[in-house]
Amino acid sequence: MLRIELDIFSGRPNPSWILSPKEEKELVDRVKADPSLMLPVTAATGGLGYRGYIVTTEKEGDESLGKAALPSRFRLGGEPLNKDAATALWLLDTSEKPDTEVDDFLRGVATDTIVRQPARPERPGQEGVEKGSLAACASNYFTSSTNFSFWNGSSYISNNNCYNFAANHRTNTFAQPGRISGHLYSSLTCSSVSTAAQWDGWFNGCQSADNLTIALVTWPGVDFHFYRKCASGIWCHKPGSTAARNYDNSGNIITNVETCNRGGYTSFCGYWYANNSLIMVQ
Amino acid sequence: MSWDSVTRAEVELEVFSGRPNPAWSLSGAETSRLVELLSGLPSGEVRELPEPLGYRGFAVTLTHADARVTAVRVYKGEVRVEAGGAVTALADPGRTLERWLSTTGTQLDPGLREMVLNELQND
Repeated sequence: MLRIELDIFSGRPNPSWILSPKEEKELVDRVKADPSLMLPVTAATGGLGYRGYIVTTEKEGDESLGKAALPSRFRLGGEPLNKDAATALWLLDTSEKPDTEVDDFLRGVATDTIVRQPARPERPGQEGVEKGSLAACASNYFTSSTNFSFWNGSSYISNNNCYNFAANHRTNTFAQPGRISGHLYSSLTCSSVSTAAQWDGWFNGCQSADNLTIALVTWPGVDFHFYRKCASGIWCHKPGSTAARNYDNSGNIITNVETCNRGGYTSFCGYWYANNSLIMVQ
Repeated sequence: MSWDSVTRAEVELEVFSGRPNPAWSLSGAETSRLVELLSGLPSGEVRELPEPLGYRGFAVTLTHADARVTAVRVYKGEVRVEAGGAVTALADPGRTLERWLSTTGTQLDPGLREMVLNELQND
């Protein structure tokens, strides 16, 4: 029997849960495929907050673990050796059991840490940007705020949506956050769509070159929408299969996404950044 | 414009930005009714219809027996018709056609259906 402990608290005891037989087999398969996932329990894998998992074989002589000759107690996941984010996220999913001690908040904290990219050096004069806040970036890739012919031609207009436009990537696939990275959003909430976008490669702060700045909003529980900053301080967007444009639902040029008329997309989720040459969507 | 020999009609609720729009096919009887309604509409003013973020009416694709396609957009009392490269317009007084189209979307999520009904309350 395998017990998984989510190593996350400082004062309180960590939450833990028992894997089902099927989950146990899955975990054994994963660590057998990549034994380097297993770390000593004492490995330094983070400070305050999420530090990975501790896997313990509980008495009852688990046969599968014995046969695999795995340590009876080992650590998995956590920084800076956040090797296999997919396994870490899968293990987090196994905590969703009746009477689980892992609530949505904890799950969010763990997910954020697992999904987060390695820390980049801060730009001079740019103290840690508060997550989701708007930063003035030094090296931007701004497309025209008036000419949208690249998006509005008949061959492209119907099959490229707000996310294609935001990423400046015309794939004709009506792109969805998380699809290209294999982590499609699971609900129409700021949290879920933001996580999916991070998986696709969007960051919390300015990129050093060709920076794209986008804003995410949601129609809570129903849909998502993105805006992208284009030339002259104007924000542009492409609502679904309709034409890309620089105005809001009142017909006003958009200079501030947070205050413009967004119709039913009332929830403002924050800003994200990526290098235009590197970001891709699907 | 010609509504003869329409063999198929697909309706798309124009509403989303990120997710694909809900879409469905009309039954044979509904297709006949649609053609009847379209045939009875007075002519209108040809112009670009607004396409706001959120609800923006219905887009109907009609396929004819000879494989011609007619694209119809219905929103706020106006109907824009594109066929063979030509654009014409009809009027939809009282948004009757638009209301009828909303009733054909039987698989729509109840919340979405309610939103559409709210939108249709304004003439």
